[in-house]
Amino acid sequence: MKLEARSIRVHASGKPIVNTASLSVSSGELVGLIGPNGAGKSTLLKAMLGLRPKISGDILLDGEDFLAQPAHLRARRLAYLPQDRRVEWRLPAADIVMLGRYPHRARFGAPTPEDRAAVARALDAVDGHAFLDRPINVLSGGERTRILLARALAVEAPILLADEPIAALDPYHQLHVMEVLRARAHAGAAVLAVIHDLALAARFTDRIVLMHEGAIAAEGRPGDVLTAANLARIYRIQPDAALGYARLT
Amino acid sequence: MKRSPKAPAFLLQCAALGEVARDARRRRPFAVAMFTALFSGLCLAAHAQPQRIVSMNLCTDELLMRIVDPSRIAAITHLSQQPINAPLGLNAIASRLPINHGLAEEVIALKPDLILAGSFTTTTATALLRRLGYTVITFAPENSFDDMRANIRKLGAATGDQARAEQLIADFDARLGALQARIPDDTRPIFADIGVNNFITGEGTLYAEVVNAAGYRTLGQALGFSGYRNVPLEQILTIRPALMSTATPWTHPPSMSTMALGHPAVRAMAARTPQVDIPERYTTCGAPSILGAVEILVNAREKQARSP
Amino acid sequence: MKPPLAYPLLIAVLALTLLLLAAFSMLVGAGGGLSELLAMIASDNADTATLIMMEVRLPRTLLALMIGASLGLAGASLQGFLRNPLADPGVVGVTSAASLGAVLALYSGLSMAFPLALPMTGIAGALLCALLLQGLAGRGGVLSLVLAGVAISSLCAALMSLALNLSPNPYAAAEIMFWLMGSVTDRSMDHVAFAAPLILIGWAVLAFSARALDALSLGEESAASLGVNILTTRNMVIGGTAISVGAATSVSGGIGFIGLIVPHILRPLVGHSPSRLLLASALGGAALLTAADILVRVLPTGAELKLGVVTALVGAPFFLWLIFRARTEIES
Repeated sequence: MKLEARSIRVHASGKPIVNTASLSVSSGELVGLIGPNGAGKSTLLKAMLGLRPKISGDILLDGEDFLAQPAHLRARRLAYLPQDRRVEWRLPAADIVMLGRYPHRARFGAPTPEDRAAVARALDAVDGHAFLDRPINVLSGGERTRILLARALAVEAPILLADEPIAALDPYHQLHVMEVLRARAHAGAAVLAVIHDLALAARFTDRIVLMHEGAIAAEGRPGDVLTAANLARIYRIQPDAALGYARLT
Repeated sequence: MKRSPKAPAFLLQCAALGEVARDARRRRPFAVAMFTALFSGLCLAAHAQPQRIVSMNLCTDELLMRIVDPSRIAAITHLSQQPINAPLGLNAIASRLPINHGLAEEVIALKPDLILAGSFTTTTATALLRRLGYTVITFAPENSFDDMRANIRKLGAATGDQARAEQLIADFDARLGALQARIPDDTRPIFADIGVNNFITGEGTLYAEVVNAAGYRTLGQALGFSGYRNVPLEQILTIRPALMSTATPWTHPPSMSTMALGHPAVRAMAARTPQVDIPERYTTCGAPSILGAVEILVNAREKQARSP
Repeated sequence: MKPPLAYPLLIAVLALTLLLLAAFSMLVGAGGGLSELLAMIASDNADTATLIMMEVRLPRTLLALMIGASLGLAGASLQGFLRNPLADPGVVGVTSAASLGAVLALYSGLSMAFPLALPMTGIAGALLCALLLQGLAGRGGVLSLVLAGVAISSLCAALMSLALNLSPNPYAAAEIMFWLMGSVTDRSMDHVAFAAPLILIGWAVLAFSARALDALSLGEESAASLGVNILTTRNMVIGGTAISVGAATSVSGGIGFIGLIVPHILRPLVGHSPSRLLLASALGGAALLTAADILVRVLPTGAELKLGVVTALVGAPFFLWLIFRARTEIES
């Protein structure tokens, strides 16, 4: 399965946020979408979900117009983990994960055994069984992210889009989440994740897409994209053996 | 104490006539002199009666029209010209009289020598008029037939028509007696007059005396209270009246209170109880008009005795 | 942390409480309690007892149940959709707007010609308020929503007072208290007959939105990605609220705070699930309002207290306490 964004343009207040960007993600690969703040990464992701209107361009799933399909079918094919981690009510973690089964459930009625099995699998993947009965508002940042990731995994959609899944996490949880995403990709899903940590991106992704000022600046294997020239031009940083990176002055 | 503004004029007129009488005695025979003296005296007597009477209250309007000659009535209230007063039969008189709306300015412009008002009528206007030196006589609301007779006498004294006032009372008593003679027995069944917002009259009110005079007792008397009260609907439903009345003139446009008289429970009660319709005007005032209500009730009483 | 009662058990308990309160409501009133009613039946006065029970107490009880349920349900629904625990039909102005609509239909005489005009103008008022709220508050958060509700309520109360004073009927002006404070005293089965169908329709519409409210806990973007149509959900919540609360208010006047208190108390008991809270709040609201209506009949005040007075005496301090607790969030 292949999800493709072709020549997408998105405007806000007349200014282009995404300016003719194209990318694709296929089954079996973990693609990292990187770029400086304000490059348009989140907006591109939302456009692919139909959450932001696009001025032009196409979103195609295996060659078919994706956004023309009804919402509940799209929901079964594409799971989304947004940047916003807020949950309004003090729902228990297990109930949050069960919300991921929404596209599969009937309007009225209890969860099916299949639903429960999917939730169990998702909790396995994020190692979340220990706190599944606790309300979400008392969980730590790392636990909360794992539960929300489990919610996205519970959809068991062939495509997963994650927007900054490792933001505000400690190194342990950053590694854990990246491992879950990679495992998911290698199990057959198409996973696209927006990431700021370049080292983790380099280490875990199969392919990197570098975005800059609304357009795709580079694309390819991590080693080919994360060159000194690209880092200098786009991030205005240089690699530093001791510190990792240092700012260019 | 200031005198009424009208006072000097007629005194002078009568004094002038007196002068003619004294002159006449010197030049004419005694009889003629006596006549003119008599006229002078009568003139004074006549002018001692107020000639421009203004009434600021619906009930004093009625008494005034019944006792005093229309030529001496300077104005009645606009309320007396409304169609709701038709049952009184005073329309021929009322429609020809000038009207006032209870405002001090209007009344002053009418140059009255006597003002009649209810003790709760536009008290600011009456206070102002008194302060300006006008003669204002107020009448307290009546709670019984005796109160009514007292008020009639008081009005007669104020206007100088004591004889006519007494006649009015005598006629009232005679007619009341005739009506009461027709009451078949003294069982005093219950007459349920349900007012807007379940407003019920009890013991010690004029309305109760009217109903009692016709041989019934009121719903309030049956429930055992005095005065006026809004009674819960359920309490009303526990009584089984022999006669009922629920009319209100305020149906268009409606309000929730007036619509409530059509509550299904009240309608059910009405379906099994004979109804009577007493024009509201008959019971608004403590005046001979109440006989209209008494007559309607006595008719109902007779009818019920004939067909139990 | 699991809730103390399993959901089916909670519903059963609420339903049972409700039935007991309803039965009690049928046995309380100025016409007499159980012993007086039995005495009436024994002394060949059964038709009086029937009249009191069927024509006065039954409509009163049914209306308290339906209106309480509507208010509780609408409150839970609004809170779920707006993701804001301070939302309630009264707070956001829907109740006042519905009262205004009903006042215009009744005192103009329109509802005499066409009885359904009464609940329908109530609904129209509620819908207009909802549209106005969208324009005024939009995504502005809890503060703008509450302020918009205050503004709309004040305007509607003033317009109601004006309409009543302009009525040629001398009793109209004093009836403002009914519309501001609400009552089910001396309502009849006629009122039940034309309000009930619309109230039930409103309930059905709100029930259909239940599932989406759960997904909305995650925020609009996640919910949309799960297949929730935000616009349709919004229309169902607003529409269902306007229809049920609009019809209810047109026969009972403005009763407030039920939609605020009941969901708040029951939320922990349903595990904070917005969809489960709907049914629980409907039952809880019905029970609470029936209890309040029993209270106004039992209290030894001279004239019967208005129902909305009782709910406000409990609800307004509760509202203040909620605001107090949530003030840090409100200021952000």
